[in-house]
Amino acid sequence: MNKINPWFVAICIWSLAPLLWQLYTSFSTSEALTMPLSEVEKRWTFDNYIQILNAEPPFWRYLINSTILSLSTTIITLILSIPAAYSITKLPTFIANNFKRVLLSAALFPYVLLFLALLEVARKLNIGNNLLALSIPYSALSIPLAVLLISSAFNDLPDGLDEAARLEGLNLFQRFRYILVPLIRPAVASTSILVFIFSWNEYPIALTWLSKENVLTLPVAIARIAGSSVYSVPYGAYAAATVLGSIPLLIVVMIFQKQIVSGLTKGAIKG
Amino acid sequence: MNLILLLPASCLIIIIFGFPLIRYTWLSFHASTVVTGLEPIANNGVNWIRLISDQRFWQDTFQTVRFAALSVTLEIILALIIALILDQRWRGRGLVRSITLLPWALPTTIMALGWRWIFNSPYGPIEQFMQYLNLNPLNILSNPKVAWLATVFGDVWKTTPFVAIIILAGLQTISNDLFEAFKLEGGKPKEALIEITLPLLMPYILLAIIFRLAQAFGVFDLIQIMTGGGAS
Amino acid sequence: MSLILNNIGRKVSRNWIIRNLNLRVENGQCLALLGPSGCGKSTTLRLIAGLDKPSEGSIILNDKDITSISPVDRKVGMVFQSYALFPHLSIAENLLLGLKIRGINLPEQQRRVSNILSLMQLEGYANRKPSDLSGGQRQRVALARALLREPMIYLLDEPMSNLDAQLREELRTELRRLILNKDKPVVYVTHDQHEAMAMANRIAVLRNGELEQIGSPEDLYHKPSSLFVATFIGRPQINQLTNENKIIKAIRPENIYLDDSGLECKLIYREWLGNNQLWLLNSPKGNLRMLCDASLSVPERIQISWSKNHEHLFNKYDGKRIY
Repeated sequence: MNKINPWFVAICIWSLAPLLWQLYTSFSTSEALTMPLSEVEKRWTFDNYIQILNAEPPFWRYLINSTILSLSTTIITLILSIPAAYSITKLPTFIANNFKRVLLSAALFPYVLLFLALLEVARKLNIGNNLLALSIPYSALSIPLAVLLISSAFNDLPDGLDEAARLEGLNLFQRFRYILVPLIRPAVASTSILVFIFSWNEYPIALTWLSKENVLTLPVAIARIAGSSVYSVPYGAYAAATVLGSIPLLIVVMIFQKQIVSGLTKGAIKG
Repeated sequence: MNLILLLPASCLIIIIFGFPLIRYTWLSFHASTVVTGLEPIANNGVNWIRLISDQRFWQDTFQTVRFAALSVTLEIILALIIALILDQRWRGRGLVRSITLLPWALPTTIMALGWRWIFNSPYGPIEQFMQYLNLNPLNILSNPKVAWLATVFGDVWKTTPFVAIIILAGLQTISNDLFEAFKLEGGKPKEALIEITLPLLMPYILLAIIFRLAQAFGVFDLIQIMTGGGAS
Repeated sequence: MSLILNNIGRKVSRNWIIRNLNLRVENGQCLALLGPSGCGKSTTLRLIAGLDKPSEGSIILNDKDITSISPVDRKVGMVFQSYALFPHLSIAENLLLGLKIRGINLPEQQRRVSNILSLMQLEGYANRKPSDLSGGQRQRVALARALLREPMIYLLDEPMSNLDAQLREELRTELRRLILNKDKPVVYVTHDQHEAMAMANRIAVLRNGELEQIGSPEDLYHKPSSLFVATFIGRPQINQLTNENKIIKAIRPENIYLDDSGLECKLIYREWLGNNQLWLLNSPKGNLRMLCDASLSVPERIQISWSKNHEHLFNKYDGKRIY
């Protein structure tokens, strides 16, 4: 049991190698990158990081933007999904099943197809560069899966709890606050994390809605760094951005691994 | 009372999903050109006829189907292996599971360019390795015939964790009693994989295929960034 | 003072779950709703509690129509089959929650909860979570919660079905002490005929959403109104004799005795039950169960008989009692 499983090592290499290459790139000078096998004067550098952190706007601006967008999306999604999920569990089985089928197809729908029309709306309403406005379509795209996950958690609650609370005199709001939401906390946690990761990573809609430099989200900003030079992609700066942009997700995955796994499996299996 | 709880979420979904679909349907039957004064007018399905008779449309469709089929097949095979490994009770399983999830959790854009750099000719690690072995450069991304294979590779790397997690969940539903009963019947572990594990995993594998196919038809970001819009 | 159900019915998407139900439970009386699963007994209880709305008919509690009153205002004390204790709250918090919501002041909340905990012999468990308690203890907490509500009527939904046999015996005493002896109507849902006969003054047997028979345990046992009731009540099960056209004769196993001039039988097996024994006999009238004294040894020739008075006669087609 104390030996290290060689297969585990293989999986880790498969998953980490491309990321480690990015890490290596981010600390390398361009000479080192173009002449990896020959002797160069200076091989290691912080310049790539200094460059993106001193850019206008500085790189951490994008981290803040992505955080604002992801948090607001998560909150809106939860506020709308929890009551909806509860009410589905109270519908007659036949109607509830059809409703869930619709939600599942919405969750599976390749949403990329929607972005042109959504862009049209954003232009008409002039909300293109507003992060909070962007969190509305994001929430809509997250709600189908969120409702499925949370309603399956409500379904799994032992019989009679909601009724017992009703008989104790708790109104709907009190039941959510004292009984129902505390009991489905694990499902709420994994749903939140999945929604958070989705909004953090979303690219097509963010790319088309956001154009002002200071409201860009991480994925869009990183793609911009890549496109900033006509002749060649500045891979060093790009890799530095990748590393910085990955750290928050790295932390999320390490801390919430269990919730992510349970969210993905419940979403896939119960949906 | 009950329906009031359902209403806000339903409305939002209907607006965000419904409006674009209706809009596209409407647009698809209209034309707006300089001739019509840039005002859309109905053109009785001419758009559709043009689309269906357009060689490029069918070529794009073929490429999309080819991409989805290959990447999903590879993902299922790899994910099955990874799930079988992760199912073993070894030290550090939790950590390895987190590491496995990483590619899935990272933004596609972040890694799409990363792949472009990895496949870069002549500076990327793959070409460097070819040089080291004194072989001809592969020029993967600049050769349109094989560039799509690189995008498949990127998609497989990113999405295998998702499939593996679903299959792993399936594996964990299989009761250990079944394997013990099989052993008592005189079956060998390898036979158990074919006789018990795979058939019982089938529903989960199918599920993963459905999920992945649905997503693989919309991997806009990966392909757009990796190839600069070339392969799809 | 009483609970009256007037022609109650409930329909869910074109199917009647319960129909034409008329019941009356006086204060201090315990009515058992007995029947197989799916007969509508739990639905009836939920209708009385107000958790579901009836599609027709009315419910009257203490001369007041409560058909459209909310569950809270009906002041029902309900004990769920699954106990329905809130798993994330401690025992004390479980009991306090309702009092808090009803706006009772803090010292009074504390006083009532500690009273009920000592009445239930649960003093040491106030700060435990429900998952730390045994099934019997959880059931006592559920009872305590119902009692704290000071209800006008008690509703018990299969309160003992999740407990083992010994705990049931104990809890029966508890139930009698705390609830059945109160001056309130009690409705007790169970699928266990033994439990129904032990606990209730009157039993209503339900079948496919309709009332099959209502009466005292003795009535149901001695004069079952249908073959369904006859087979549902009394263990070992009543014997059905396959004979005469249009009529099914039935005889209870305990009414069969050895008789030298009786029907000749062969013994298939015997089950020793402790205080008595059960013989399964092969007779010309089919296989018969016979319940007899534990000390009785099997004679060489088994001949059995029974008194005509003990025969139950049922119509073969609708199962209704003829005599």
